[in-house]
Amino acid sequence: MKRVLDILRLYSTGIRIGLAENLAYRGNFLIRFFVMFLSDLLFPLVALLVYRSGAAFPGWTLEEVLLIQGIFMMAKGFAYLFFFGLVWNIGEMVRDGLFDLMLIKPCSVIHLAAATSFSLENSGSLLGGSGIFIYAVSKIPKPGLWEWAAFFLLFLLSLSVLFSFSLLMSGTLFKWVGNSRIYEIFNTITQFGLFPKTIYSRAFQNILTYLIPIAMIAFFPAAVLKGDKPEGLFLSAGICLVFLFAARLFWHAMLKSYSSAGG
Amino acid sequence: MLIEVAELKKTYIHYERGGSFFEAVKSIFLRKAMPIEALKGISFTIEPGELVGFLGPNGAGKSTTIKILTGVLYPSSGRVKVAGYVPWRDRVKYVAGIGAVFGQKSQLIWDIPPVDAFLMNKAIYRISDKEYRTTLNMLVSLLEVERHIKTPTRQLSLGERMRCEFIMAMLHRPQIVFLDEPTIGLDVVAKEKIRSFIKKMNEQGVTFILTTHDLDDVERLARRVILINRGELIFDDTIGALRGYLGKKKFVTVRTAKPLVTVAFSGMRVLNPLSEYQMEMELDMEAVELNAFIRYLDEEYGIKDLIIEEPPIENILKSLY
Amino acid sequence: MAMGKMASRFFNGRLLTSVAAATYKEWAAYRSHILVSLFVGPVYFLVQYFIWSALFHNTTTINGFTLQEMLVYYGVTTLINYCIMDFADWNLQMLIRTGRFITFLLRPVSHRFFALAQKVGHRFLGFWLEFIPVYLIFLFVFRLPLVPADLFWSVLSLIFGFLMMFLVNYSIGITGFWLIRTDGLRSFFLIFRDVFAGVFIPLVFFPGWLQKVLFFLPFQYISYVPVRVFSGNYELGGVTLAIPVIVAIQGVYVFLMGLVSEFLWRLGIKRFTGVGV
Repeated sequence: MKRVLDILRLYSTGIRIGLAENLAYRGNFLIRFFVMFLSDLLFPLVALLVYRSGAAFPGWTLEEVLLIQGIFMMAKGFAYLFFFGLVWNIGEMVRDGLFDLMLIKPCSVIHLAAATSFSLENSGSLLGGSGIFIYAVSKIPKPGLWEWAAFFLLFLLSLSVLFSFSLLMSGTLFKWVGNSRIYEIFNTITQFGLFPKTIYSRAFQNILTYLIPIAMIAFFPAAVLKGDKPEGLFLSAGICLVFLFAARLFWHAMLKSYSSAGG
Repeated sequence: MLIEVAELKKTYIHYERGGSFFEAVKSIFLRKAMPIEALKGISFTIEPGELVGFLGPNGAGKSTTIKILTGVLYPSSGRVKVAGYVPWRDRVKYVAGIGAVFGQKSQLIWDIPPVDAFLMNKAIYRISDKEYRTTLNMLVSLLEVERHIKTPTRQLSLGERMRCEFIMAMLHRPQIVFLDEPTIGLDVVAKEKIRSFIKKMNEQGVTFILTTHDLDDVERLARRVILINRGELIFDDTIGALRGYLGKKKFVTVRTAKPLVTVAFSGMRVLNPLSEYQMEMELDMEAVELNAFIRYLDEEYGIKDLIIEEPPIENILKSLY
Repeated sequence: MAMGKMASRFFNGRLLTSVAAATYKEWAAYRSHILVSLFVGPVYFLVQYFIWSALFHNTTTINGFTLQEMLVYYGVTTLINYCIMDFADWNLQMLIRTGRFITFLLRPVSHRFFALAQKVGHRFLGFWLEFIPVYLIFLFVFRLPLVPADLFWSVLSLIFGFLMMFLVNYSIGITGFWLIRTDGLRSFFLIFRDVFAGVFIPLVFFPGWLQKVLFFLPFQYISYVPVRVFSGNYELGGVTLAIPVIVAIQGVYVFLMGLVSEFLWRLGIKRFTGVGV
């Protein structure tokens, strides 16, 4: 219990300091906030333009596609706001030779890196995603209590998948020093999660469900919310936990290799 | 005993990387490993309350030693115990009791005042409000930064910032503090402020490990010096002993009325002829009678000015490296 | 003589090749970073392949594109981007912010030309580390028919796209003279640039009035025009133009953008030297 309180205190201090930093350059902060908001509307915009031209994904209405994309952005927005910053934080510190400063602090490096990277501008992402999500939910048949409960559970798993990705990426940056293109790799891989799983070939559907559970980021939560019982859901939920476990192992192995190579 | 290091070894594996495209692709799969011995087995102990200077040329193994002592780096072999902990194994518990100031790695936050950045360490080290206030007040008045801690860091001078770095590093009242080039780039006044702070804290019982290339730092602060070169410990004793390491020597600067061209005296070595009438020389006190030497100089050349002093520590180091 | 000297500030062949060669070597050290494109490009395309295959399940044309044409559109957009991308905006504002820019004011060459020469070197590296391998993957793995309708006009349009991208980015970088932190404004512009250059979706999908507006903005000349010239047909805002005509218009726009960047530059320099260094 005391440990949890300590971690919460760490995060709340990190958030306070992050806010103070944001306010040091108010104008830039506002623009960045707006950009995060806008860039999140990009994929929904493309979906809208495509559906307006008369085309459609077989079996999916525009609102249902927007539901997936809204959830995807909410999850990413939440991740960006609260923990994804650990990737660039660790990446930058390793690149500039400052990572040792993190190791001489008496707390978990992961928590410290996440807590000290808070930046409010990322709430633009969360806001944009939530907006689309609320719009899409209002257009689909009203979900019941059970659907909502299942959705929240799956949303937590969605966050766990993104957290696993942040560990895989920051772990990689211990070795692949200063490579900012790791974000492009991440965006490209997770891009599969922005669209209904059913448009992919069987082999890819299996990969997205059972190997790298990208379908859990938004597709499964959206499907459950609109009342479907998608196949592979339970197994995929289990895979998410395995994925998290494997990502943690990888991260600690990379940290250990950093600590024996001396960066 | 506070710090105990025995037979510490560290070997890095360095991978060769080719220059061409194909070598780059190949290097992903096949790499040629080259071991580099950074530490070849060093041993020493440090008692509580000491202030030890770590010296050595670049690449000697100093920072490897410090990284291992701070729990950042795993050694290849050897035993280390600091305050009862094995640094790299018990990292989280161990580092709660140590502090570190790196002259070239700031722990402050660029865009906000130091006093806000301090809060981060307050949370990290779980310092209670009361303890935080007392320690902060004590450090702030010792370092004379009452105004500066409320100014955004980017607006502070380097000297002011370094003093705030010390607060950041010592808020949790560490018993061991590692200093790496703490006065680098500072002017004379700022250096003096930092040094007197370190002295005061040391008098209060804090153990300091100081690595630096600034020999003034070492001479003014450290009572004991550890010299590392090419991964080996080559000297571990007091500053006085370091001075006497090459035998009893004196350093002489003399200015005379007549040209010094022909000067010669057994046990005297010319270091640096500054001009015809001025010269720097080294005396081996085992072989030279000082009275006789001065008489010789005055009778032959006419002394106009004479300085006799301890040899500068640089000269000793140069001969050791 | 004075004219010649003037001109040499803006173009200098020997400087171009030596700066380009130096930049090429400098960036060659980051090969492993550049090679990431070999993964990102094809995987991004794969997603587009699935998306459009699904969207075309019960129709043969969408907004005048067949499935094949749509895939070629995305494939060529990716490839063209390897030839023309740069970060002149980031680089210039960084030089201004850190004060390193001052060293360029002391040299008898315009920084804009210097930056362009850097881009040439950087993209030469991109040409054979990104363009050629990904071209081959598209050609043999995805079986895209990647043959330009007319090589001459395609290359010319690509060169104009190369210059346009540079001039737009460089102009964004100039805002560094006014703002301390430009990253927000820059990413704002970059989103606009890419959306309105047709990187995410062909511009003909936009509402008619917007397409007419886009015709007059510089963005379509970065990527949309070269891609359409590659395929041999150009259409925007309900207007169909012959290839030589749209490439000529593109050339005029590059020239105009050059004037805009020169104008912004002079304003910026005035501010820079006015503040004092």
